Amino acid sequence: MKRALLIAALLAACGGDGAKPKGDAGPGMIDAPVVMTDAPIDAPVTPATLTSYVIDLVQHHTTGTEASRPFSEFQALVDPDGSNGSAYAPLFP
Amino acid sequence: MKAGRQLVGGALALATVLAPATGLASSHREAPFITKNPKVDGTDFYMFNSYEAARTGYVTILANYLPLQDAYGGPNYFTLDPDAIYEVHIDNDGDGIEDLTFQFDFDTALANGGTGVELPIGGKMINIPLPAAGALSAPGDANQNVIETYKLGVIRGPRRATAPMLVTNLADSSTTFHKPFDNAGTKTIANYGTYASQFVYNFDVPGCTPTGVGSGTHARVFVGQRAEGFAVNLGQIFDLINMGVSALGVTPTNGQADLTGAADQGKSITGDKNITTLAIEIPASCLTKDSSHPIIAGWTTSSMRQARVLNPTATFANPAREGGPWVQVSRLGNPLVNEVVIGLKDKDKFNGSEPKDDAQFADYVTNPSLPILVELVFGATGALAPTAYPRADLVAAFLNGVPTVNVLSTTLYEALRLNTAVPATPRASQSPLGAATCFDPPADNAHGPTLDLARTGCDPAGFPNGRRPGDDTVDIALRVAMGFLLDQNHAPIRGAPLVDGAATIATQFTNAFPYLNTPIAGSP
Repeated sequence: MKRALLIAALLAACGGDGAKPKGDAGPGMIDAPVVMTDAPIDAPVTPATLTSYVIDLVQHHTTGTEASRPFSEFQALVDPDGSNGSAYAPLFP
Repeated sequence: MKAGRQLVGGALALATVLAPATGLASSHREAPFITKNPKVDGTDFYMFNSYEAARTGYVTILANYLPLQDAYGGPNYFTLDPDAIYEVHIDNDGDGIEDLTFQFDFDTALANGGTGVELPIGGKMINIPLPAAGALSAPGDANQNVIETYKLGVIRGPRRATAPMLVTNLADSSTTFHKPFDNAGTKTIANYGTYASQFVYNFDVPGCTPTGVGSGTHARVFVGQRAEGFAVNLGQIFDLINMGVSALGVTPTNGQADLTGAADQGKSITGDKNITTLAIEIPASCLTKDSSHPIIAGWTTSSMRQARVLNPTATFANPAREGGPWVQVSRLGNPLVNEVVIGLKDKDKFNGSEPKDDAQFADYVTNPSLPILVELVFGATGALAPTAYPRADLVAAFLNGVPTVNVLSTTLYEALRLNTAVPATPRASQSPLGAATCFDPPADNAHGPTLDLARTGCDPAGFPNGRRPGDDTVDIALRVAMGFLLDQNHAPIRGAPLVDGAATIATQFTNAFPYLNTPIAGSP
């Protein structure tokens, strides 16, 4: 069986201005399902996991004018999807 | 902002000329994180008044990316990153914040609308495995399987405040420009110089009516592979300055270059490499604040989307999904700053930083470590570092530029500064030591050199008043780092004609835009 490999890489925001409020890291659980937020464009990212954070970032914050997110906003997010080959499926419809 | 920050910035500006004492590869692979992303690794930044015939009134800006390309590096060669943006920033009021940005946004696609070149094989159409199916001779050649294009936008004010205004390609009235295929070899591209010249495009800068340029002339842009123009004795420099110093009694051995020898007696390790150049030539009047403020500061950056998710079923068009805000990952103004001034732990921070925030790097400038490293290597021979701390000599001399030449303001930050009103020096008359030739020797051991723009041989149109391809910034940096601008009492070897042995001279380069030479071919 082909095993899907998904790697999410976040580029640390260095010295970005216009820092947004920190996200709610949430408790997180191993193998917990992806919790998707329904953030509108330009709203702060408030995910429960690194997976949902990345998905929200890509889907709702890909603009030419928005400030980069500070590292503090996502450095502590839990990442329960290391073995979940479909965790990022929403980005590849 | 500014008192403390100004001093900081000034010192940093100096460090540009000063610090590069040892490891001197301008900015090739200089920071740990950028080594993971060579396509967005800025390596050299040039900005100078054009010296091509009939181009008076124009400023040429070259931003080099993707370092140390081997010409034979096929089959995919050296495309730029379609998921990144590459930018040139101009500050014309001296506050360290860009007033004008030129933004390059690339696209890489397979021919035939994404299908790619196919050949009939046994009754089936099969996609070929190579980026070219035959000889190439012009933009959009039918034999080209991988096609790189780009759009060029102009942003006025802070770079992320508004969307770019796309410039129009005057060749076809579109907003798309083609990038030439890399120089795979003479069987793919018979005459690369002729081929590449077709990718020099005219455009007009949106929102600017130029003055001081020839009637009927336009701004120009070219993006493509060039021969590496930055000469440096890289291997010996990074091997703890594995060189001799004959003037101090250390005779070079085993192929070592001589740190106090002739300018060209060493080996330029980068001489067999190519680079990718983003070149624009803009009317000076479209860059400056107004005609009474001719000085500008420039730098280049690249930025990537903040998130990248790899596609488990990757395709040519979609190997990954990238998104989120832009994050700056490379920054380059003066050569060698991040290479040899900024401490290793802060190099990636510097790459992500903006000039207006340069106060955070002050200590690296006022108390530079590189002269001390030189002393550690050669100290027993008398190669002693300057003892004047903080390096006020550099601050005084280069506080935002060379006094009376290219001081932009009292606000200090790291960027390449150019006085667009200083007439360009013809190529044949340029000095590799640039504006460093404009200093009279010290009167005695208690005084440093004095600026003398009337001095015979003075070439004020060169580095650090801008930077031309023929400026030997390594040799200039070596000398200033070890105290050229100080008095003898505080800089024991201030007068030593230090060299890395890899010479740079203007006549090595072409006399026309984009100035850097035709890239080395991948095969005869």
